[in-house]
Amino acid sequence: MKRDAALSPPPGGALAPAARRGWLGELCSGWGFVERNFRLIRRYAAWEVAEQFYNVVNALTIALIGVAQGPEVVLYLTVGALLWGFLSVIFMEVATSVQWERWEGTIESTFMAPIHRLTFLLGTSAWAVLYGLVRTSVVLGAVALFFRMDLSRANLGAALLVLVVSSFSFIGLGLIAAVLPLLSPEKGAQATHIIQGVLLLISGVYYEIDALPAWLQPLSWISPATYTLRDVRRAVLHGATVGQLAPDLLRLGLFALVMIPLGYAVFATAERYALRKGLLKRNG
Amino acid sequence: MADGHTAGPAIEARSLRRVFQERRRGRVVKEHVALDGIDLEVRPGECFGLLGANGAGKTTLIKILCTLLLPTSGEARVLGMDVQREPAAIRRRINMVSGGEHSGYGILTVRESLWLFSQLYGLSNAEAFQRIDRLLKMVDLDGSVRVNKLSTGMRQKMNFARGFLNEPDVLFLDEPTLGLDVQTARRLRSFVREWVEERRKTVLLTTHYMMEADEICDRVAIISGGRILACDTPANLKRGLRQERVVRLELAGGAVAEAAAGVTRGDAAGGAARGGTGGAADVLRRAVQDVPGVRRVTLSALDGRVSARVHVESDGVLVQLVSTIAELGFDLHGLEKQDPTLEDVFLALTGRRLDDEGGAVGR
Ligand SMILES: Nc1ncnc2c1ncn2[C@@H]1O[C@H](COP(=O)(O)OP(=O)(O)O)[C@@H](O)[C@H]1O
Ligand SMILES: [Mg+2]
Repeated sequence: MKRDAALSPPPGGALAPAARRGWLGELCSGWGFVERNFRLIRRYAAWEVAEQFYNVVNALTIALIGVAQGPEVVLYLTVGALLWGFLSVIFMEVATSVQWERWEGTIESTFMAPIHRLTFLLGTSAWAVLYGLVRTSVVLGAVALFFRMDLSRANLGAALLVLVVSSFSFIGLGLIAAVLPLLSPEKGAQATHIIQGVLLLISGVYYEIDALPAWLQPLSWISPATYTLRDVRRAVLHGATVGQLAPDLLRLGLFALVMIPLGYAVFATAERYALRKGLLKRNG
Repeated sequence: MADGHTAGPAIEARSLRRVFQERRRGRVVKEHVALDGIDLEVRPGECFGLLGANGAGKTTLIKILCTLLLPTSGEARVLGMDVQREPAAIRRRINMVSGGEHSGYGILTVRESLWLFSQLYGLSNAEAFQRIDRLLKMVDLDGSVRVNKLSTGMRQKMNFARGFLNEPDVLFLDEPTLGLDVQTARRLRSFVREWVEERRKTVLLTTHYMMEADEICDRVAIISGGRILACDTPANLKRGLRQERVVRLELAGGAVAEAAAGVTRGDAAGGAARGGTGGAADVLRRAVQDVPGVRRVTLSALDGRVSARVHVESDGVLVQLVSTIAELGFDLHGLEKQDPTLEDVFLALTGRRLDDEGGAVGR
């Protein structure tokens, strides 16, 4: 955005109601959230670099565990580290969006603004996906250089498709988790972390689901990450085609189709509850 | 209002009630009645003040009108639209600023921060920056400063500018000059006044500074304990007290230093509601209060001197008053008749002073 363009004030001119309306206005406002987060990150550039460095090292150390067992295991672990990074960025960005508004003291301004709640939620989601993609690409590039990976057998197109479809189901999951900080100013953020931890445990990020105790295994079926990991690995390690992955893609798509409207409905109900209880207020 | 297609009141409340429940382990242990049947009408183009002490219910009322809180019962309308049924339509035409608000993204500049808020209202970049620069000039604030480097006053100026970004038809100002220095407060007040007059906008302002309400509000409602006790123009409210005389006595000599210290400590503050501590200030207050024909006394201290504002029924009381003060060993340094202020009106209606925190729990 050109933020410094041509801004000398007009000599006291009357203000026309120049606000864009309708879906175009909503779209612009939604993009505003993407841009807001981008600006915040740009200001925290040093932090961002430090965090990226940590992410790269984290992925490398996990991949290094597999070196003794051969390149396939290295790739298996790398995919786990990359995907988990990507999915947890999406989940956490969406899930903590309300908490951020509280911390920054902007929750009243944001909730009082004439934008559709979906605009806020989907704007945040769009940011989360973009940010997750950039972060994951950086780590992928670094890891690929480090190990000089052989991806000749991989079906990267299919892997990307899985990633895109799973993003939506993770947004849905994030929406439901975003409700917690709305309902409980004190404990909501903690609850979000617990959910993230459970997902990490049950989704088979670094191991096959069989490794889990039998009673835990059924839980993995309800985590979209389980299918994402399985399919991306099949595409990257064994070159599975979109056709072969179709059943899981369908599952992921269905998951998104249910979770996003459900997430929104839960959010709308929770907002109504917050209005009734007087929970829309700043923290600290 | 610019388009004038709502002929009725700009803001309207009918039997508005709001109860907060305090729960422990899911069970309601206590109920706070924040608003206890508010009836209110603010006309388009009016700057309306809600004057009340801490905990009176001012913020609760504003939040309901801004669609950030639902009423427990009763009705509220803004620009003819119901706050419960049409919040989206209301939001397009209002904005709210609250004093002492610590909001905005610390690491961004003032200008960037305001730009982000403008995006919530669908302004194009060019339009947004134009408005922002105009508003920053108006409130006299440098837009290139980072938000976390702002002083309290500067931060409040930024919040203030945010409130005008979308050119709202109704603007809610919740204690907008809280903690500001006198000059900044005056500047912002005159800005609001001009804005209301030039653009025919409606402002609902809450405050516990009686000067503020007196200076810029067309009408003032006095609110206490979640009820509106009186509502009229400042002049009419004060005229209601006209049958009373208010005199100001400047005291010196005798125990005045001790009394002044006592007043500063708060021994005799708060009028009749408090038990005495037996200090010189308290002795003075009681003695004056006991003079027949005296209605109320407030003491204040400045530079080691004490002045007493005394409401009396008639001029005849003054003779006895002066001799009582002499008996206590004070010199009468000055005596001046005064017009009642909104503070006096508040005191007459509630028995409390505006800055009296008594009974207010939390903030
Ligand atoms: N969210 C809340 N939960 C519980 N009590 C509240 C809440 N908000 C306000 N109150 C109570 O309602 C009363 C009125 O508060 P408020 O409207 O903030 O007063 P004012 O703005 O005039 O100082 C106070 O007693 C306050 O403790
Ligand atoms: Mg308040």
